Amino acid sequence: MAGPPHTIAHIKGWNSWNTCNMLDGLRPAETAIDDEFIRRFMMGTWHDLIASEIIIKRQHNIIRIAAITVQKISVTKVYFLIGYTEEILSYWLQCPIKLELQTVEDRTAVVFKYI
Amino acid sequence: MLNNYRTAFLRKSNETIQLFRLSSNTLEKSSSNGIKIDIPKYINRSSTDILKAISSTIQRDPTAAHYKYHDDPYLIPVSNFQKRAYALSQESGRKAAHWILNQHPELFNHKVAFPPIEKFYPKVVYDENCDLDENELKIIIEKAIVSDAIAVYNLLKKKNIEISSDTQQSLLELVCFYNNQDNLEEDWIEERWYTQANNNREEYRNTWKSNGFAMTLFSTIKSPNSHHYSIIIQGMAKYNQFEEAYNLYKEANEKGFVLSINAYNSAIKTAIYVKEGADHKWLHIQEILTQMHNSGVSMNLYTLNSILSVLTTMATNSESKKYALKTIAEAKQFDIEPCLASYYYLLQIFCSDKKNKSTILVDILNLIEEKSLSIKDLADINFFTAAMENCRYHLQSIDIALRVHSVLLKKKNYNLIGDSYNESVYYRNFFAILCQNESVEFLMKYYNDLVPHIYIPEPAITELIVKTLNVAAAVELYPKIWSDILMFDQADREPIITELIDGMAQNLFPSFEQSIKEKLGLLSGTIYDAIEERKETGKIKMSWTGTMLGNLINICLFGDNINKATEIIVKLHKNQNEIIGIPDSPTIAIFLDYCIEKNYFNELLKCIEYSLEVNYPELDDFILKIMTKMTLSSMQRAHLSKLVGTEHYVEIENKIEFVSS
Repeated sequence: MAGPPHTIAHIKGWNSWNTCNMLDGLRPAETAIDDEFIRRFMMGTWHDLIASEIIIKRQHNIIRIAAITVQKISVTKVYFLIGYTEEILSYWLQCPIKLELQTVEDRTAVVFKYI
Repeated sequence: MLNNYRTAFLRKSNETIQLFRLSSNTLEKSSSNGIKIDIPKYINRSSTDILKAISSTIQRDPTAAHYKYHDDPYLIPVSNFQKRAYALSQESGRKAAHWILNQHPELFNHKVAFPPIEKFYPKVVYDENCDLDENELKIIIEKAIVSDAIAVYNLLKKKNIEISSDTQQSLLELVCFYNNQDNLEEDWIEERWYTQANNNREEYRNTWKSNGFAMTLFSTIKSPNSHHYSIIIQGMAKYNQFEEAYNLYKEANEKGFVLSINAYNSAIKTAIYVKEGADHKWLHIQEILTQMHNSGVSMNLYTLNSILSVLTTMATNSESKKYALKTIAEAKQFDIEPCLASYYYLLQIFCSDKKNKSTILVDILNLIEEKSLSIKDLADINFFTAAMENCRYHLQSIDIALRVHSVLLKKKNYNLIGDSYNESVYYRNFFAILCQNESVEFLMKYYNDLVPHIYIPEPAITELIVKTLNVAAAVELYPKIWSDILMFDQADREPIITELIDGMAQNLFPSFEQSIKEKLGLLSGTIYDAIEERKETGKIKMSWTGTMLGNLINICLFGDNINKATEIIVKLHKNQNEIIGIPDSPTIAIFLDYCIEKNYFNELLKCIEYSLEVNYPELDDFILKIMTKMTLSSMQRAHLSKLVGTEHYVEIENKIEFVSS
């Protein structure tokens, strides 16, 4: 967050990993819209739980969604949300979806730099 | 110039190579001088063969949780309860999404994937407005959705659309196979893993829907042929409606039909209920076999298995073993190789007698050890559990148990473990044998490997493991086992705690290193705290016993944990009404000796206070010892005399003077 866009690939990575914008890439516009949809869906479904950017990685027809969540709800609820998110996004985007979550005890654990 | 030359040379050398190749080809034909190249025949590969090859190179990693759980310390389950709860929670989330999909199918009508993935589309609902024909019904039957198939069939009937007899037959097959109801979908993996076990265990309970769609369909068929009879007999036998199945079998026989081989197999199974007594059952089987012979139907693997499964129900009869061997020999003539299910039945038949031990399992192992096993019969998944149980109760042999285990781990055999219940029973028995027979190192090797990600011991097995540690005096392992007990949420199990504390107290040897002693002292403190905490929250109902607390004091003192020891003494003093019994007097003596040696006067007073209350017979000796062995200041002397009672104190003092003079 502290790095401006031109530092991407220098001191930080991308939030979306795909090949749509390369030469002859498929569905560039749709992918961007889908990514925005996924991000909003995640922020709403995992309300007040996500402590990081949501990283979306596409490989073949699989979409992997990575994020860091806060340990605020019980583990069974986390698993319920994982199952729910994966399944309903699969129905919407019609491809396999995988969630890759890490958890932290406290939001401040993912603050790397104070400006 | 040089470059030109080089290209020319290269071209030339290429030509020679070509020439050489050509000539070698001709040479090969004419003489056997050259090396003959055998080009292997092209093997047809399926699209997933590469994936399978790659997956065969990796094994289950025992240090990581199963891959269905999220790889994060917070999300990894550590007890049996958590494993089940987490897996099912995720699935329940998926079901919630599925429910939304079916509730609002109109929202999910977009099609973005190509090729389309049917599974992600909402379910099609069939009603009277649909434009249906027989092809639709065929597709649904192909997909094996029972409720839809029945609905569409009824709609077609209503619209008076003719249905071909082939389709009718395959519909009958479908409803008979699934007993007129939708099967638990394959998508709900966890639900299947955790519940299917219970369905199978309701053995021989009649679950056939007697007035179901299958029967209606069967009765609408005007002149049922042998196929129809075969199907309905198989369906009934599968869901344990044996009587009806047998009646239909007789009916078909009267009509002179030749049934399918699987229908005969089902008919053999009806012997379980239709006939009583070993002789009658065997006669029944023979009858059907003769019928098969007359009709020119030869037996297959399932015939063998059905016969054996009937024999297991009469295993107490001495003849059954003879019959079983006869059947196996007969099967061999037809080149039928028994599968795991057959071996499972054999184990049941041969090992029902507790007195005459049979080593049939060893023979079976000799046969299957080198083979790569695959599932052939539904009952196959019972074999490994039964084999391990056999090792534990029947053969009581660790060597054979290890052989069974190594067979299970070979190739893809682990797929045959069945479900969660079978798996845990298997490991329960395995660990019980390990505890009974082998050294602690050996047990711990498997323990470290399998616990907690593959298997978490049930309370009874934890108790056995603790017992083994006690017998072997493996003191260094107590801290680990205690932290595991805490993790598995078994610290509220009374037998385990009692066993652990008793064992620790018995294994205190002065030759231990100081570091181990200290660890034990601290451990006993944590155990005390953990139990106290659980008692307060009401998780543990048992009350403390004097012996248990005495043992804890012993361990604390052994590890120089005087603070905890004093805390326990105070606890003993304050809660005398709740604690059953008192610690032995040697414990008190040890406590006093320790205090005298280290000059802990305050702790000593607390102990004396308690001893006075209890009034140990050795009380005078204790005080005598303190007065002679410990150098007391006048203040301390006064304190002690006040506590003991001045008169009594003087009495003891006189006694000392008398002895010394």
